[in-house]
Amino acid sequence: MEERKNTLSGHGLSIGYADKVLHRDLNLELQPAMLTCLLGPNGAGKSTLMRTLSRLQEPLAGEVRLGGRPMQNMSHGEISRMIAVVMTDNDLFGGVTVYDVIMMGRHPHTDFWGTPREKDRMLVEQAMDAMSLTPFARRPMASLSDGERQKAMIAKAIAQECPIILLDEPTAFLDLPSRIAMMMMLRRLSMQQHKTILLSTHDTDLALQYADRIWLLSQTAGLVTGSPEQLVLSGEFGRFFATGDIRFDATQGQFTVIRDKAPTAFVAMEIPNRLWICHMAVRNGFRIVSEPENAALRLTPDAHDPDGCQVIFRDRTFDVASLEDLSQLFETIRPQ
Amino acid sequence: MTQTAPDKTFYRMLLLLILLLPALLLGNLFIGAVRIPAADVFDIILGRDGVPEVWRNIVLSYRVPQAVTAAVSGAALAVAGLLMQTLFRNALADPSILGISSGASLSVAIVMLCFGGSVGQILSISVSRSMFVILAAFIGSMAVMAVVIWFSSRVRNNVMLLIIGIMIGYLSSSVIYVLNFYASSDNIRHFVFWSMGNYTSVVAERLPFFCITIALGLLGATLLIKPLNALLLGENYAVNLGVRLKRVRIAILAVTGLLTATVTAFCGPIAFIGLAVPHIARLLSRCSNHRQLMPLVILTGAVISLGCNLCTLIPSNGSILPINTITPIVGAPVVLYIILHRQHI
Repeated sequence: MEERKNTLSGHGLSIGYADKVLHRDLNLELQPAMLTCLLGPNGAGKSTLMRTLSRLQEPLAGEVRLGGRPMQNMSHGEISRMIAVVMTDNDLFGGVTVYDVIMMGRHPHTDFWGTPREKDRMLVEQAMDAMSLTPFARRPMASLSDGERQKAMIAKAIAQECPIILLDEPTAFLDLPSRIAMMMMLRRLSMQQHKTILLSTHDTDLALQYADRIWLLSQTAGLVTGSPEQLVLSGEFGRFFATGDIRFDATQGQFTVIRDKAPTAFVAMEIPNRLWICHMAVRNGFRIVSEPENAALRLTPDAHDPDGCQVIFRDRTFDVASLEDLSQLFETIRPQ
Repeated sequence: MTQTAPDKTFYRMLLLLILLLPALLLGNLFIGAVRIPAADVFDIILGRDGVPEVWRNIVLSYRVPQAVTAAVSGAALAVAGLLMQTLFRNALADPSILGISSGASLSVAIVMLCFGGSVGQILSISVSRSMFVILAAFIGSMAVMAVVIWFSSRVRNNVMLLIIGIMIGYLSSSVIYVLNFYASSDNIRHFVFWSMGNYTSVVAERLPFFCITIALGLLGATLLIKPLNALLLGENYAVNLGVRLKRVRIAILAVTGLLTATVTAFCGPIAFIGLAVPHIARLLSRCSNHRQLMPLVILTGAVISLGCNLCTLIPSNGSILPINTITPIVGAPVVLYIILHRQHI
């Protein structure tokens, strides 16, 4: 029974607003004790889906089941002990401190007056510690950076002690290292504390790296779900994000700009720091090919200079001794 | 850990207010338009004989009700302001923002400006104190409150409510201007006097009703402490914490309406206390939790209101300034300070 508590599923869900239906007949199930990332372009209805799943708004049709029970039959109080949410609008009023915010996570568990007991204080301390917010405890939320505020709201969700946590773009305001740290933290939370976590994000690469499951949501294709590997190898992932010249390169696991007409470049495997030499070539408008034949640009090792290389461009040969030289060479030969 | 326990600032401020309140209450009994020696005031309060009957009458029938009215009204308006600021999560919200006091003004304007003379003659008492006016103000406030609550169950977010309240305010003032246009200058004078606010209108016999109604409102506000705290995070988070938003919103509006309507009905629309006091309490105590804020706001409201009432005696020639000439002097600097230091509010 305990295991079924953290299941969240949608059956024949229509979501949106009375005057604008975003999706019809969605069927979904959030995998228990896993980290699921919800990806999709702006306006795909990610927030609306999350709001519907946490009953901040009612579905237009169909039902959401929490622990196997229809959510419509549950009180907000009951749901508040099962699902914790973290939203994007974290502007708080009245000079609330970090500690107070995290303590508010205990609301579903405290009495009529919200009196904190020893256990509540302990859980708040732990949540604060888990998000390394202890030094900020007495600071007003408004004095923190966006990232710290986001962390405080996540600490609130942890203190809420819900088996399910829904986060709407938790990485939106963070710099890259903090985003990675955030994803790793959420991953730890799902693995160690068996939390069921659903988060929406635009960080496709982080989602591929850290998510157990990925949900792709778009107006055209509806909801497509699967493990990251499944979605990439089946091509769903690539199709989902394909726009104009931008394609998902399944071999490299990243997005690239397709330039079929760009001049080709061959970079020999023996070239030191080949990855970044290729990077420079691509940046200067070339397309990397794997065979030297017919390549407009060829970079091969220099037999006399282990640090340098030989560059052949349209039958002209250059000896390049350093990265700086190569960079200057590219400026003269790059396609306009 | 000491971190949840409200820190020393809170207790220090609580102590200060508890000391200030009786001091200011007494101050309001000792000082008045008529000079009565302090020793005699003491004798009157302690029920001793040998004091002129006129003085006894002034202290017991005028100064005591006025001081109590000032304290109770201040507390009521301050709490109403706190509720509005939290509900709308807006530092500049106050009890008048819902149009409740505009509703009262409109209703009173209709009574005073259209029937002013006749009402006065029938009752042969000052129009501004007539029960008709109180009744009119009450009906006006409650009518607006009913409209706002009716809307609150239909609109999605609180900003819409705010706009509705402000629009009601504009509509009433434009009708009041029209009424002014046709009213006699005598009636206009009465209306202007009423609209500048005064604590002298609650005569001793009406005091119990006034105090009990306000006490009920304050009790209602106290019962809302937990959902009020959750609302500081915004409506979405509040709902996720188990707050039944529609029900809580109606409760907050009803309590604010009751407090504002009662005070406005008896004392006229009193400006700035509802806006400034919650900020003063927050700034001085550095508290945001309503468990601490609520008692502080009640006490600060009473203390500041009593202080303002004392200031109305400044002319010292027997005349009394309307309360609304004093409250902005206290309130405006606070509001300016808030705007300049917004980032932490």
